[in-house]
Amino acid sequence: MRFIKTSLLLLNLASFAGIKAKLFQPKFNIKQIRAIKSENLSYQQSRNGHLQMTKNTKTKDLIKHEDDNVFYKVILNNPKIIGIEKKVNFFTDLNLRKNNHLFISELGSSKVMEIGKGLNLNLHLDGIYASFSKINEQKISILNLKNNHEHSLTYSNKWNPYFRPEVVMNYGKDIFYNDYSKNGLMRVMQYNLKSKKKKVFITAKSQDRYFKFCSNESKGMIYILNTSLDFKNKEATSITDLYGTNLYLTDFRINGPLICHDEHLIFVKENNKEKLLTNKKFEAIAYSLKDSSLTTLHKSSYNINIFKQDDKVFFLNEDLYYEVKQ
Amino acid sequence: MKKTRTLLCKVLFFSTINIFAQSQGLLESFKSLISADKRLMSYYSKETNIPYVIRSKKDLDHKNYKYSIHQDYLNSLFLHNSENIIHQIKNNTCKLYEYLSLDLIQHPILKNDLILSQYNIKNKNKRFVKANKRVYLEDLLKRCPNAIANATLLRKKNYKLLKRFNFEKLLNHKSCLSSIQDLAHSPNFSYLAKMAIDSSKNPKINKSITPEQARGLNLFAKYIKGDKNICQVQEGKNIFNLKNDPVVFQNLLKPLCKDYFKTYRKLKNKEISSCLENIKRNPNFCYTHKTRFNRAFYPLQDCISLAENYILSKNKNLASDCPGKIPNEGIVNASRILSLIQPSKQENHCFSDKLNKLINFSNEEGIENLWDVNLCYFNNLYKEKRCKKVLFGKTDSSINYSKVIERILKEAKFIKSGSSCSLTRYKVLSLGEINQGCKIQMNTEKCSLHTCPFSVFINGKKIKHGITSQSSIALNYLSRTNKDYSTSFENLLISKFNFRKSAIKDFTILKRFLNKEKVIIHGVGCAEDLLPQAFMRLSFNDCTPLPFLISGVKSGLGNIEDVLMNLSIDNMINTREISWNEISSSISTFYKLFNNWSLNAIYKD
Repeated sequence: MRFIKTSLLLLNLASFAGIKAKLFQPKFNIKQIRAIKSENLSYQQSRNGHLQMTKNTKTKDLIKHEDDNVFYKVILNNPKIIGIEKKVNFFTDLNLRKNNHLFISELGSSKVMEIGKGLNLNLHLDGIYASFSKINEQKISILNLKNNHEHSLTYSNKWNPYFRPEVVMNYGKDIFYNDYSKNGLMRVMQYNLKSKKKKVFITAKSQDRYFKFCSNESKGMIYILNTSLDFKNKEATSITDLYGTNLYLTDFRINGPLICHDEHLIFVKENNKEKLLTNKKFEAIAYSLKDSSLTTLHKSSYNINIFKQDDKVFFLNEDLYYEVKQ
Repeated sequence: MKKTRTLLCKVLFFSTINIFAQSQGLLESFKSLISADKRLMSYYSKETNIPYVIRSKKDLDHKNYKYSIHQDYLNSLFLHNSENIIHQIKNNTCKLYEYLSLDLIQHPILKNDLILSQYNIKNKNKRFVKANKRVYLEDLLKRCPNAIANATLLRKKNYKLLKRFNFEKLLNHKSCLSSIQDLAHSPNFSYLAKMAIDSSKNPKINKSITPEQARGLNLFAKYIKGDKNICQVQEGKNIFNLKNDPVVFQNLLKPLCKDYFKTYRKLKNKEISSCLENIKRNPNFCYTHKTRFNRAFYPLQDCISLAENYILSKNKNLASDCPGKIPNEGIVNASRILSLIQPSKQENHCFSDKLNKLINFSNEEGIENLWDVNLCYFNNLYKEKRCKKVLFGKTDSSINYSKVIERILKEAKFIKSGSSCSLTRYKVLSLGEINQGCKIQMNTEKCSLHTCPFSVFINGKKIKHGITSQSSIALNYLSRTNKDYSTSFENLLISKFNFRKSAIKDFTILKRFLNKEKVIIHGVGCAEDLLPQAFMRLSFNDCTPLPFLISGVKSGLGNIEDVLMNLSIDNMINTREISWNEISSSISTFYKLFNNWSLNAIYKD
C-alpha cells in the first residue's frame, strides 16, 4: 500500500509535466501498415502477401511472396536499420516457436538482406548489431552487421517452451538477456562480447517474477523491470537501474514492455481490481528520469499496448493509436 | 451455545406464525423444550393415545369437523428442521403444506403422518387425531397454485428448468452469498430444494444434468439441511477438500498430487490427504505444475486460482496436459475440442490421446497433411525410401512410436518377423542376459509428440538403424475469411457433428451461450492482448494468433465479471481469468487485420 501512496504523491507533483499522449491520425490509411518512420516513409503488407515500402508516395515491393498466407513484422527502433521477420504459412502453422525468416534493410532503401532464421529479431546500438533467438536450440545469436561476425550464446530454459529471451546491449559491449535458473527462477544474465565472460546479474526471488528491460543508449544505462506474471503480484513491482537503484515501486504489476524514451521510462500499470475498485484498469505512465515525476498518459478499461518506432512512442488502445509527445 | 441460539431463533420464529393460536412459553428452557417435545411425540405416536382416524380421503368429514395441524406437531417440526428452510415459510400456509408434502420438512418420528386437531362444529368438542399426511394435504394443496406448478415440474422430472438457475454464481465463493439469496427467493425454491435433496440421495440423477448443475444442487442441498458455511466451502483452498468428487479428483487433484510426489504410480489415500494439505498451505506449488521439460507455458497460476477457476469451468473433463509437446497451437486447441465432444474413458496421458483423436478425425475427413510426421528408412528389397506415420506418445493406435520403430526394424531385416522390441529410458549395457533382444532407448527429456531422439540396441549392441524423421504439421484452424467454406477444422467439425455456429460479439451473448449444455466456445485472438505480460506488440498492426477455449465466467468484487479461458499454450488445468475487454480487444484486432471474426460458439440446440 505504501507504494501506491508514494506513486500517487509523485503523480500529483507531476501534473504539469510536458509529456502527453495525442491521438495519432496520419493522412494515410494505417490498416496494412507494419512500421512508420514518418508520413513520407512507411512499410506495409500488400493484400497479395508482399512487404512494401512507401517513400514519398511511391510504393516499392521489398519482399515478395507467392500467396497471402504470410505475415511481416517490421522492427524499427533506430534511425538507420530496420529488421524484418517474415512468418510463412501464417494461418496454417499457428506455431509460436517456429523460426521466421529474418531480414535487415537500411531505412528507406529497397535492398533487403536475409540474415538467418529465428525469432525476436532486435537491433542494437543504432543498428550495428542484430540479435535473434532460436528457441528450439535455446540459442541467442548476436550478429555484427558491419563485419557479419556472429556470436552464439546458449541460454538456459527447461521450463517455459514459449519463452523468448529479451536482449539489450550497451556501448560497453555488454549484452543483457533473461533466462531461467535450474529452479525455474528468471535471471538477468550479463555477457561481455569482448571478454566473452558470462555472469548472473540478478535472480528472481520467486517463480512468478519476471524481468524486462530497456536500454537508454545515449545515457549508456539499462533499466530493469521486476514484476509478476501472477495477477496477485504478491511482491512489489520495481523498476531499477543497472546499479540496483529503485526508481519506481508499485503494488500492481506492470504489463508489456518497459520503454526507454529520451528522459522517460514508459510503461503500463495494471490496477488490479482485487486491490482497487476501478473500471480504468490500465494506466500508461511516463516516469521522468530527470525529476522522478510521474505522468499519466492514458487510462482505460482496455489494455494499452505501447511500442517504439525509432524515436517515437505509440500505443494502441480500443482500436485507436496514440502518439506520446513531449 | 450456537445450537441454543439456533433453537431460540426457531422458537421465536415459531411464535410469529399465525397458525399457532397459543403462545409457547418462551421462558421454558430450551433443553426442557426438547425433552418435552420428545415426551409429547412418543405419547402421540402411540395409537392407543391418539386414534388413527384419517387414512383415506373418505375419512375426512368437512361437514361436521374443522381440521388444523396440531400445534405440538408443528412445534416439533420447527425444532427438528433446518432454520434455512423454516425461514422460507414465514406466515405462508401454502409453503408449509408444500414443504410437508415434498418432505422438505419432516417430522423426526411421524414421517408420513400428521397430528390434527379435529374440531366438532356441532358440539364444539375438540380432539386430537392422527392422519395420513398425503391424504390430508391433497385437498389443501389444490388451493396453492405455486405448489401445483412445482409439483408438476417435479413429477415430470423436468431437469431443463435447472438451466434457469445460475449455479456458476453459487459455485463462486465471491458471489455465493448473493446467489443463495437469489435462489432462496425464487418462486421455484421448492422445486430446486427437492431436486437438490433428491440428487444428494440418488446420484443417478446427476447423469441427466450437467456437472455444474450437479455441484450446484449438492451445495444447495447442504444449505437446505442447515449448513451455514457453504459459501466458505467454495473458497479456493476448500476445493482441495473435494477429493470424493470423481471429476475434480481425476482431472485436478490427482494430477497435482502425482506431480507433488513426482510419480506416475497410483497414490495411497494417506498420500493424497497429505499432498492436498501441503498444497493448501503452499499454493505457489502450482506455479511449476508439469512445466519441466517444456510441457506448457510457465509459470502457471497459484493453486488457489487454479482450483477456483477449475471448479467454475465448463470443461472440467479435460485433465492436466502438456501443450508444449505439440508445435502447433491450432492442433492443441482442435485436439481439446474433439476430446470435449468425444470424452475419453481412459486416463489421458500428456496429450497423445487427445492428439490421436484429432489425427483419426483428420484421416476420416481426408486432411492428410495435419500430422504428416513420419519415420523413414531405405527399403533394400524395393530400393526405395519408405515412410510410416508416427506419434511419439502413449497411444494404443498403430502409429505408436514403439510399434512403428519395431515394424521398420522388421521390414529392414534388423530383427526377425516374430520378435519384438522393448522400450528403455536408460542406457543399455552390453553385458548380461537382460539386454538380449531388441531395445529402443528414448531420450525422453528431448521428446515432443512429433520428434524424439532414439537409439536401437540389439543384444546389447547399438546398431546403425538408418531411420530418419520427417515431419510437417499444418492445420487450417479457422476459415480464412467469413465467406470461406474450405476445409478448415472449424467447418469440418460443424459438418461432421451437425453443429451450428454463431459469432460471439458481446459479453451478454457469450454468457447466454455458456448456459447451453452442448456448446464449445472457441476463438483465435492476438496473444499481445490476451497475455501482454509475455507477448509484446512491437509495431502497428502486430498480432500473434493464439487459439483458446472459453469455459466460464467468474464474478469478482464490485460485481465485475471476468471470462474464464484456456489458452492453447497453457496446461488445461491452468484456466485463466481474463476480462472481456481484453478478449474483445484481441478479437477486434484480429478481425481488423484479417477480416475474419474469430470468436464463435459451436453448439447443438
